[in-house]
Amino acid sequence: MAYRLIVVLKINSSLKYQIMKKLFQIVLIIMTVTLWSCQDELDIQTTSNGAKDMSALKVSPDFDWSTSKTVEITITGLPTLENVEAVKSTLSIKGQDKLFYSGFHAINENLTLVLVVPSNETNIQLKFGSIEKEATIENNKVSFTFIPTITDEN
Amino acid sequence: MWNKSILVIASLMIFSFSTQATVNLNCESGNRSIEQGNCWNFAGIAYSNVEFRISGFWSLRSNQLTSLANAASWSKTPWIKPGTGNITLKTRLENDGGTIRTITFSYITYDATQNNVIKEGESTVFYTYNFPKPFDIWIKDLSIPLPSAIANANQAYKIVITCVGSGGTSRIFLDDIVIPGEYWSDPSNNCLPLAIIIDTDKDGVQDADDAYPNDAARAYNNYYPSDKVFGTLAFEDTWPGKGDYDMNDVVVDYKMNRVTNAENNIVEVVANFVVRASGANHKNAFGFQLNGISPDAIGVVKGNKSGFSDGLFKYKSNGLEDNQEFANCIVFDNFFSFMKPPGGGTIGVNVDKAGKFVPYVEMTVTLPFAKKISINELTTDKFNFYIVSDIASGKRGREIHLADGVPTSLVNQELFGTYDDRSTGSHYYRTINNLPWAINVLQGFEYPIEKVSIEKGYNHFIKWAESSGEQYKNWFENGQGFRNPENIYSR
Repeated sequence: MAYRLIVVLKINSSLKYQIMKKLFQIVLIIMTVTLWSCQDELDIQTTSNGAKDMSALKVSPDFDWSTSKTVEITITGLPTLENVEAVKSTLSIKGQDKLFYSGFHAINENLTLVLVVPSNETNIQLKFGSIEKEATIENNKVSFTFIPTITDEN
Repeated sequence: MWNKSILVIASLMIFSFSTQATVNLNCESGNRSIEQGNCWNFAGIAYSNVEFRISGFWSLRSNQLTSLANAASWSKTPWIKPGTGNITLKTRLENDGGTIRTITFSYITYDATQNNVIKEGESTVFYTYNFPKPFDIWIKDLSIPLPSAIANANQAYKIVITCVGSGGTSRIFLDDIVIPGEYWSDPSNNCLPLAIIIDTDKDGVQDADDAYPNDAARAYNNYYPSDKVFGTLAFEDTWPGKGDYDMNDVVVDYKMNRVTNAENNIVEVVANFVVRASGANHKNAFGFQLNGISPDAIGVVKGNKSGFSDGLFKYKSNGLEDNQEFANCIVFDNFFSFMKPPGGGTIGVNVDKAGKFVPYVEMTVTLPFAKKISINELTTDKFNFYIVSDIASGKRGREIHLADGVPTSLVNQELFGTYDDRSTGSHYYRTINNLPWAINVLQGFEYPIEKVSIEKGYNHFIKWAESSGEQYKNWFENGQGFRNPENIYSR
């Protein structure tokens, strides 16, 4: 039986070439997939020197070693109408169950606050009288406006 | 004489007439949202700057009038306290087509019993204006008397101007609306009528919001890190040499309160500290600088512990450290003067589990402000904490701050760049690998035991640092696998 197979392979050398080509292609695909699956791990390793202790640790010169971040909060006031005195009320800025700022604020004033908040805070809440708003911290900035989004009352 | 009296009376009458409050709408903001934020309301009517506008650049323009229902197209004032006289406005039609073109005027009462946020009561139509036929496009000046039922009433009303019609496609323009009366809405309170606030100390901040309702000089507390938690400062005291990173040579919790008045100026900084531990061989002091704040802006400091450093620290008459460019408060000038090591073969204070626990010392240090400084001038990033290490050496200059904390005027500049320090002038208190001599954990922190490096107590500390704080932001928490309790001090 084996003899017959060898004979067939010898007779059909182009078929042998085709088999070798297929095998090579399969090996190439397996290697590509294997290397691709390792890529994430390689990426992670390049962001970390994998230090085991403080003596081997190297960090970015911009890392501030604090568990906080500085957030700039911008509040756009509501222009008041002719003959109307701007209402003043208590403006509160909160994070997750934490109060960061309280002040007396006129609704028509623009305000920029710089607050240092815990780094795990993702959202900032604003309260001004009955006005309550919440916004996500993006690039260490949060914006609020007292100018409402237009709606038709029905 | 009589003529003079008549002149004075006439002048007073003219003056009182000319100063009568009015509520106006001329649309020139070009942005209906602004008026809506100021408690006007609109339905089926928009601001328009098409050529048929009446005056200025903008007018109100109704929808096409295909309904005689009052709900079709209207504008509604904020709550007002009506005066006397006439409502005046300008109006015109967009074209001369149509069957009926009418403007109705009504008032709405305030009804606190309504089960909704707007508290609108009954609506009463008090005037109807029918455009005369044949219709034209010319501007008409209307002058509508306020009804006697509401004129000069000491109550809140809204006026509604409604456009209705049938037939054709034309719209109604309105502009330059002037209503005698006083604006009486509160945009910060669901546009409800202005309420009489209870303000015992008359500082303008209502008692419900005032942290000091009986003190006109104070209104708000502004805490750092927050009202709920103390932050923790943990220092190594070997700078400029690298330490053992047990981060316990001085451990102090802090909560800083900038007390402000109704003008948002700082009245005082009330600094609360909990002094917890020192695993140091050195005698160390602890203080903070208010970056950018002159020492002269501060009154007499109270509550700090000074006078235990053999005269190493020199103080001004207000208790701040002398010869400093900015205000520097030495909170304590010798840790071991008030937290004595328990001895018994153990090192330091509260860093060795085998040692006797020394009760934490709570301190409240108050810095009254003698000059007007806004809370925005002293932002929380300007609290610059530090220790002065090894005061027994008789030298003041070995000052250790958080990474990139700006040194004070009294630091020994010659120490920068020596041993392991690689301060560059913009980056301070960092090693060649950018490691610090102190950390600030806003959420509070349990420090390591003596001579055990911090990463041995906190398994994710290194990953947090290597990722510049992006990974394991909560490395200090007590989550599963986060800590090695045997390496962390506990009472």
